[in-house]
Amino acid sequence: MLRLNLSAVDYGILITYFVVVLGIGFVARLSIKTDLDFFLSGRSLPAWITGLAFIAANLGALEILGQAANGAQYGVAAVHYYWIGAVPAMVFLGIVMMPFYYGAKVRSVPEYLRLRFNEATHAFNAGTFAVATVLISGVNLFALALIIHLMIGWSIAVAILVAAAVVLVYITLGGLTSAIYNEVLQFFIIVASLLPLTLVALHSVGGVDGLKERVRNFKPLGEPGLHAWQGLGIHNVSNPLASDWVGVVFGLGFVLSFGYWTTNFAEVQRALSARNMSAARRTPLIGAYPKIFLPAIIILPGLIATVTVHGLGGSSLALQYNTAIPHLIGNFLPEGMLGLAVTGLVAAFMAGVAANVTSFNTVVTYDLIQSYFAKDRDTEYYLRMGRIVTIVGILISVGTAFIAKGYSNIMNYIQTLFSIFNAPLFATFIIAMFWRRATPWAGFCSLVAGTAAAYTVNRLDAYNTIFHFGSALSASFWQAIIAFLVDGAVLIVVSLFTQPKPKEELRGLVWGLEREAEPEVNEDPRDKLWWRSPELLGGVAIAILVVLNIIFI
Amino acid sequence: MTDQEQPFTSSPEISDEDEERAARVANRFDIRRIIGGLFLLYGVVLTIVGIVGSSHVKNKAAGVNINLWTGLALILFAFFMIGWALLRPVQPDPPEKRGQGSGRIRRAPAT
Repeated sequence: MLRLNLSAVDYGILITYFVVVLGIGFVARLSIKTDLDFFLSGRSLPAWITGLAFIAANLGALEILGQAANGAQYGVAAVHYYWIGAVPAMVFLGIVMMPFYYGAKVRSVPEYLRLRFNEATHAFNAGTFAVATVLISGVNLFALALIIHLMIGWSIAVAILVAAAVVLVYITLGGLTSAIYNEVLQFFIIVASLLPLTLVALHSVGGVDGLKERVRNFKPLGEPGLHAWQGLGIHNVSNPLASDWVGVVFGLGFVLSFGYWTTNFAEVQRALSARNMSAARRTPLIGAYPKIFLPAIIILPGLIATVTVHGLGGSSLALQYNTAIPHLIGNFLPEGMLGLAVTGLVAAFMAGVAANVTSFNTVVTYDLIQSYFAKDRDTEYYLRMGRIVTIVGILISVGTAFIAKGYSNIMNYIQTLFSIFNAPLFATFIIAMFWRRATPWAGFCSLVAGTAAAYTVNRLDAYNTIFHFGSALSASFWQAIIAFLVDGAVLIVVSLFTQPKPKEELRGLVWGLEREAEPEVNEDPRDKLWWRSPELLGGVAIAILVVLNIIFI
Repeated sequence: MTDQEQPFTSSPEISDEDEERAARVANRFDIRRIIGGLFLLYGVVLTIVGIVGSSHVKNKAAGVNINLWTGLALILFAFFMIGWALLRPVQPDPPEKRGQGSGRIRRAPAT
């Protein structure tokens, strides 16, 4: 049974966490004097904090439950979401793209598009981002509510309202600082609860060798469930992902992953809050290291659950793949650790919602309200507006929580959303940053065409008319690839027929057009230390990645 | 200087004193101390449960006393965080470095 009996000690641990989270919100409020403090922490944070927040913002409940579900359903191949689908893009963001974002002093990703293209592109991107973010935030809410309902027995409505209320209070009070501090705290609580759980679960199946033996003899996974790269041949797909290597490498690894990690403002915002250029560039690079090793405490427990939890993957609510980790918690953790594990899941959920809400309020306030409806007001106005937008955003999230209910694997739902909203973006960004001839209206047309293409493929696939992909996962890879190609093609063709921006307006925004040297803000002599070099940090991360992929081939 | 390179803030009246005060308040609460304190508390609680708990509590995790071991590890980690915060406290930037950065953002040119 999934239902857990929490003791007084467990509730004590959970309630202590809520108190600390709210306390952080109240203290953070004292440091907020301007709208920039609220939305970007006054650009004051050190790299290790923004780096951990960068990872934690993505480590929501749906990431943990969803990736454990992938581990249970697809086996070792699920590591592609981390090693192919995240780390290379994070390294690219830190080394290549961050100088454009941070150097241009933009406050959001859509703002870069306004400088590089025009207001139409800016407004379209800000609008779609706001919609996508609220939908995803709703998924996080639903994921947590469901888990609390199954594990503790609260009704779904109560769970949604309590958790949403806590997030509402600490973000409204402390803005991004509050969110980032809580993300760092949450990251450590997640590790503190999942690492012991994984070790104990692994011990129970007889260690690594015991687990391998159990997976080999387990239908439907078998031997392919232990390999990341075998069975991905074109027309010869025998991997549990039901995708060939083109889908994995280009769909997931290139389009989806780069689209998400390098242009999703919920992520980039963490780096923009860093104290200087060096810290901003190191943000995703520092985040890359925990990301490399997270599969060990997320995908591995999923795989263990699939061979130890009888009937996992069934159709009933309590046996969906998403419940892999909650089942292990129930089977192995006694009072005390149980409280810490439940706290970890709750914390993950709240951080996931908070990451969406803080990026939503920034984009809506700066990119929609300040840009088009209320220009040139004072800072109190935008600060107040940010708090109001926060409240509205959380209320809408509560409403969208129930859209997620129709999908059995939450990760597939989220990948579908990303492949519609994020995939086309990356084509526009990458061409915009490297080709100065790309014109303002081409930027706009490409975003519209890319999003439309992604949506069309998604609908055609849903009704099974033209496209037949092996699995929902494989479908999201291909949907992303098609959207990317359409977006890129439209951008290039329209550029050839329209007028580009004058060179002077593109300085600092496009590769090869340097800005005049400016004094570095908040320069820190210790940033010159060799181990703080972005190139070195990125290179070592990639080297570790190559070794791990060879080990798990 | 083109229009694109004008410094801009959404509230021109923010003074350096405001920024200094904001920096001081922000420095007073250090996330390393918060994490250290919370984990110390959690570690002590888990260790106690690991020592005084029933045999069911001690053996549920495949025979491992998971509360005891996790509790001790959390206490160690808490000491690391608090020690780090004490050895390398957050220093506010000296005044000559401030002023250009926080709160002063370039506005996008009208397009």
